[in-house]
Amino acid sequence: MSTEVALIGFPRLQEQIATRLLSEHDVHVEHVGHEEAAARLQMFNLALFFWPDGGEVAMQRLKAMKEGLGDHVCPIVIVTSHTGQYTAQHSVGGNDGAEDIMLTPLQPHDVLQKLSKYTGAVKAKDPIAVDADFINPFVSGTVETLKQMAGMNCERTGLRLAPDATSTGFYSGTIGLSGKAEGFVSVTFSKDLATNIVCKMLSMTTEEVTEEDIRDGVGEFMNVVAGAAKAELVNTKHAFSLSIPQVFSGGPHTAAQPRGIPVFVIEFKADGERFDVLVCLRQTHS
Amino acid sequence: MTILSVDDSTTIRRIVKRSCEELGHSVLEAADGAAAIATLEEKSGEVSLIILDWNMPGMTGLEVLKKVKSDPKTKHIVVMMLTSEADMNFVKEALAAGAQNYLTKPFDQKMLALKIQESMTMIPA
Repeated sequence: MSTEVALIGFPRLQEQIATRLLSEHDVHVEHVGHEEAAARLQMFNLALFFWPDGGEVAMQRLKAMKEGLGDHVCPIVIVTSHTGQYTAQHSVGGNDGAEDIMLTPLQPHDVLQKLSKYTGAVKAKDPIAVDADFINPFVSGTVETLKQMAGMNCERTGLRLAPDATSTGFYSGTIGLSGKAEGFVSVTFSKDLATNIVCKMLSMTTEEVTEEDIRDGVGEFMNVVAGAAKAELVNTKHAFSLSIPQVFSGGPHTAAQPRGIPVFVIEFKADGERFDVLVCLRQTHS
Repeated sequence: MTILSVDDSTTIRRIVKRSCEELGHSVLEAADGAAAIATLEEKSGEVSLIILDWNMPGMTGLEVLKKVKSDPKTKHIVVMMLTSEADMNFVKEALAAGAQNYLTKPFDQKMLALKIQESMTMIPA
């Protein structure tokens, strides 16, 4: 009998990440709306309950679900942000409380741990494909590069999995990675944001900077981010070497992607505009 | 003094050029290793410092460094690596091959200026 896991009230991006991570294990995942959760929870072995930053409504929903369960055992794990945990933590433990909390962005090892703890039925189909330990060096590399080279601050606003490596910005820089791990990393900017960043890197005005300057600047930005991440990952199973960056302009571009390997899209915001860093990395056997 | 900036990125060459000129130095530029060697063959007497990228199409920065340091006409030139290769093994390899200074990207203008000035103090009298 397979393990049934309910995802309750997840927003779209978090749902994509949770579904992708859970799909690596022998579990069946079903998305359940708030209105039906209390009535249907008895059918599941584990419920992941998305808890928004404001907690009052969530608290009532949790209480209703617990009442609906009666004597049936279905552990409820709250999934929430760093902000949401402050209200959520008061609803963990006791007869009426959830069993546990997981913070977003969901990490593969956290999902594995909770599945193992609460269902005892975990079998990783392909642990390499969901190993995302390599993401943080790309996040810190991006933040630091923008700060040092352009004097700009940025913040990470999201993380999601994408089925392919389509960069949606006007300018995209891509670097191939090879070694113990292989794949690619890309950055994709809107025309305005790329122009703004390169102008600041070069201390030039938007009137002075040329298309070629922007293309070169985007490529170099990607090169520096990848270099910073490489240095952090050098003594890990994710160690890689860098190729020369390639830059594409004019609109969406899809990079070649190792088969079956997910693409992590790290979303950032700088100067009020969004940009993405796409990372696709898998271990090789060399 | 004259500084040779070797990097396949025009962005980096411009940033380096601006810093060097603000410090009162003149700058020659090369977009790859072969162009750097050609410039040195012609103007080795003028160049006091080479600011050298590692990852470039064709010759790598390390190959350029080894060539510079093995040539009696250029081995006196101070070399500072300016690269996104921040791994300590790369730093050690570059220093072992004769580089006198090493700055990793990302960098800010102040750090670059400081490293250029520091490298200038290493130029033989």
